[in-house]
Amino acid sequence: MTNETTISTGFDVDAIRQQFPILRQPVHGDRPLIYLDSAATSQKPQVVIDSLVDYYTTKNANVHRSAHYLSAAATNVYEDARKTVAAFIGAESPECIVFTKGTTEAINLVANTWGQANIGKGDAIIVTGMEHHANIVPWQMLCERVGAELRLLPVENDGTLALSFWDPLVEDGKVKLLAITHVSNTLGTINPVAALAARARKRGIVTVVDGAQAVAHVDVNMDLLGCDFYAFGAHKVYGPTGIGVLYGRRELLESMPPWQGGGAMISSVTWEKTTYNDVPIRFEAGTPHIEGAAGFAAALRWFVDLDHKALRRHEQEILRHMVDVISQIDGVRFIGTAPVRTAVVSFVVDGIHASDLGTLLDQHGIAVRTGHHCTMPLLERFGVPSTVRASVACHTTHEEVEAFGVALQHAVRMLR
Amino acid sequence: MTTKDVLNELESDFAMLPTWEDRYQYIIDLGKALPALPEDDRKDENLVRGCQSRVWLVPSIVDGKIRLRADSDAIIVRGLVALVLKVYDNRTPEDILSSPVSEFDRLGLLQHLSPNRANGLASMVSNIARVAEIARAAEVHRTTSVPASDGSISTGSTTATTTTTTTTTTPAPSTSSDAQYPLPTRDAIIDALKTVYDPEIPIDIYDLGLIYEVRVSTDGTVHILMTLTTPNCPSAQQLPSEVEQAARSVPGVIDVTVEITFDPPWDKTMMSESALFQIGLF
Repeated sequence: MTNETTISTGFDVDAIRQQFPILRQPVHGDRPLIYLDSAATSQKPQVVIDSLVDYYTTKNANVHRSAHYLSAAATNVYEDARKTVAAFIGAESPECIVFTKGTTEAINLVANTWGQANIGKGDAIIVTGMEHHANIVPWQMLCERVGAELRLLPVENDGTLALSFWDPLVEDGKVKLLAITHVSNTLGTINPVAALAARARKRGIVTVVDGAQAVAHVDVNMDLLGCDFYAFGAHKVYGPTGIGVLYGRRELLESMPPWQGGGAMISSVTWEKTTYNDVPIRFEAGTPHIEGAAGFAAALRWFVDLDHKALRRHEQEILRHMVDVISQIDGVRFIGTAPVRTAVVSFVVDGIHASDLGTLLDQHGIAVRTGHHCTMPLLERFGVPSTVRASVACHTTHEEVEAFGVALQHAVRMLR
Repeated sequence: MTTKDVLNELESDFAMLPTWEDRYQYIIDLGKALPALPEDDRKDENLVRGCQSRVWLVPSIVDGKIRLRADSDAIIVRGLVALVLKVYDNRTPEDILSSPVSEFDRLGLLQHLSPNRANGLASMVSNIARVAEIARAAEVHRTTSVPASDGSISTGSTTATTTTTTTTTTPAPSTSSDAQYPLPTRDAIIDALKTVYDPEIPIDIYDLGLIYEVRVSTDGTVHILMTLTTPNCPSAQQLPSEVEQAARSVPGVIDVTVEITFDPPWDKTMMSESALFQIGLF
C-alpha cells in the first residue's frame, strides 16, 4: 500500500531526500533520524548550504555602501534575493519586501510603525484565537501603549475560526487592524485569509497575516490574498534562520515612519535633521543578514522548482497517513480537526504527558515537538497544557510515518 | 544511609540496565510508584523553575534533616524526581551538600536526557542544596550561640535567658530570601503551640497566656518569647523544649529560638477567655 501511494503521487521523495544531508545522519548513536519537526524549523537542502559557503567564498562585502567589486557583488546577491522573494509571493514590486530577522520581527515592525501611527485610544485590534504568541504579544503591547482594545475572533471545537463572530466584532467601527495566521502552527488549520481580508478591507481594516507556517505548504500570492501585510521567515521554507520578510502594500510602507534608526535607513544625517531613505531600505537599519538573503533566495529557487501539485498531494497523503497511525492509539485526541489542514498533526493521549511521549520518541530517533507551541491561549481553549505535534515536509516518507506509529505504540505501552 | 550509599546502589542498578528502554522503564516505574502530592501542595509557589514540565518541590527540615516531597505532571520527570528523593530525602544538610548534581553523572543518565530535562533536574537539586545551606547555617548559629547541654546539634537546643532583651536573632543566610518553600504563618505556629499543655493546668500554653510573642522571620526562623507560670515552676526544664519541638514541626520552619522572660510575670489575667471559662473563672 505504501508503495502504491508513493507511486500514485508521482512525487519522487527519494530524490528529494538525497538533497538533505542531515537526513542521512543517525542520532543517538545508530538510529536513523526521522525528522517530524519541520514546523519548528525546516531542514536545508544542499543547494542552500552551498549558497552560504559560496557567498562567503566569493562575494562577501557590505551592501549598498562601497564602490568596489565585492560590494557590488554582495549588493546584487541581496537585492536579487528581494526580487526572488517578491516573485515567490506575487508581490507587486521588490520594494514591497522588507528583510527582517524573521516573522516575529516583521510583525513587531508593523505594530511599531503602522500600528503606532494609526491606532489610538478607543480603537480596536482583532486577533484570532489560534495566533502564535508572535502575533498576539506585539498587539497587546501596542494596545497598552496607545490605549486600544484587543478583541478575539474565537476558534471552533474543530479548530476553524468562528466566523459568525466577525460582524459583531467589527460593527461598532472601532476595529483598525486584523492579525491572523494563514496556517495555524498548532492545529494546521488553513484560514480563509482572502475572504477575511476582503471583508476587512470593506471596513477600512488593515490585515496583517502571519505566514510562517503557510509558505512551505500552500500557495501564497499577495494578489489573491489581498492582505495588507504578510510576514514569514526563511527557515520555515528550507532557508536559513535569522532572516525573514515583511511584505507590505507599497502605499502603506511609504506612509510608515521608520522604526529602528541606524545606517542604510537614512538618506542624509545632519545634527539638525535626518531624512530617511525610501522603502524598503528605510526599515533595514544596520548591516543586514546578507548570507541569509543568499540562502533564502537559493531555498526559494529550489522550492519553486519542485512539482508543487505533486508536493501538495504527497504532503496531504502523509498527513492522512499520520492521522491513521496516531488513531491506532487508545485514548488519543486530535487537537485541530478542521476540514482544510496542512503542515502539522497535533494530539494528546489520555493520561500521558506530551513531553513523556516526546522524550521516548526521541530515543527512537524521531523528532517531534511537544509543548504549547507558543500558542498558550489556544491550548487553554482546548483544555490541554501541551500537545505532541508531528509536522510534514517534502522529504517525509510513508515508511517514516509507519516507524513513527510503531514508536508511538511502544512509547505509550511503556508509559501506561 | 547517606547520599553516597544511595548513589552507589543506583549506579549498580543502572549498570544492570543495558538498553535505553530498560533505563527509561526503570525511571517510569519509579515515577509510577511515587506518591502524588496533595492538590494543595501543587501550587505555583512550589514550582521548580527551569523545568519543561511542571515540578513541585516541598522541602522541610525535621530534626535537623531535610525532608522532601515532590511531584511532576509528566511521568518520566516524576521518575527523575523519585530518583532525586531517593538520594536526598531524609539526609543531613552536610550529606546533601557533599553530593552535588554532578554525582548523577555516574548513573549514565544525563546523556539520555535532553538539555531541558537535565536543566530541570539541576534546578531541583540546586533548590534542595539551598535548603540544606539554610539548614546548615541555622545549625551552625545554634551551636555557636547556645552551647547545647548534651553537645548534640541534631536534636537542637533551647535558648533560655532570663532577660527581657531580645536574644541575638539568627542572621539570615544569604540564600534565604529566594528560598523555594512557603514561609510558615504566625497562625500555623500558634496552632502548633496550642498542642502544648502546662503540666499542672489542663489548658494549652497559648490560651494560658504563657506566649508573649511569636515572630516569623523571612528566612523561616521563628522566635518565641514566653514565660512560665512561676520562676520556680517544676516544668521549667521541659516546657520550652516542648514549645520548640511544636514550632519546629510546622512545615517551612527552619529554626526556632525560645526565649524565657519573667517580665512581666504571668498572672491569671493573661489567660484567654476560653481558658478562663475552662477553669471556671469566667
